[in-house]
Amino acid sequence: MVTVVDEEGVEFIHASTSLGVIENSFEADYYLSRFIRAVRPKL
Amino acid sequence: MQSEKTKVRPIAKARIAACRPVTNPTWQRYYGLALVLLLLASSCQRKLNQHNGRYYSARDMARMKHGQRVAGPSATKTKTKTTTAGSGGVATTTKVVIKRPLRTGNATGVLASVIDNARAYQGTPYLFGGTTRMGMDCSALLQLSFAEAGITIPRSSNEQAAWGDPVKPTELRPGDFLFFGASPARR
Repeated sequence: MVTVVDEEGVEFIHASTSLGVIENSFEADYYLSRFIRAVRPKL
Repeated sequence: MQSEKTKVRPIAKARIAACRPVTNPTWQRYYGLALVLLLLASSCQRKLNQHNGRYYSARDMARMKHGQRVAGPSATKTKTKTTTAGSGGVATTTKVVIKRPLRTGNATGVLASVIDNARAYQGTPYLFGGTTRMGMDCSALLQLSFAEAGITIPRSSNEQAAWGDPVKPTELRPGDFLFFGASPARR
């Protein structure tokens, strides 16, 4: 889930298999290469 | 008779006193050595419980440090280290530590509280199928964070991915769901 969007970039929080629940930068190559889709939930 | 007895005693005492110096110097030498070592050891120790030249208990020191952490999320932190050289010269090194400020989310309303809920789970280990603080998977993190804000969302990732409208990666906003797959090489 995206937590921060600003001029520095996008941060998201997720449950990592190795590190547990953690906040990371979306712009990291690791995540960009594995990205499938983004969805805006209906509220 | 009484006066004779009192005269004898001082002589005995004098004899004991005369015997003592024979054993005294060695004992005294070790005592002095121990004292010097103790003084050296104490002078080498960092004064852990000193703050602004005053003594504080360990509990007070912890409380003060905690107060500093809570009060000032300052962007820069300056560390000054002063070392006294043996000849009496004072060397001062100043280290400036630039701390990245915690990026605050620009989410509003319910999403802000959902993000706060999710951040409260930071550090929870990953457990496939887990839905508690003992361990949780990716979809459980979203489901619990939304549930705590009073919103029911699907439990499985597949259902969550179909629950909203697709968003372009360039138009992301806080609260959007991101879905990742296996590494490109394995696809």
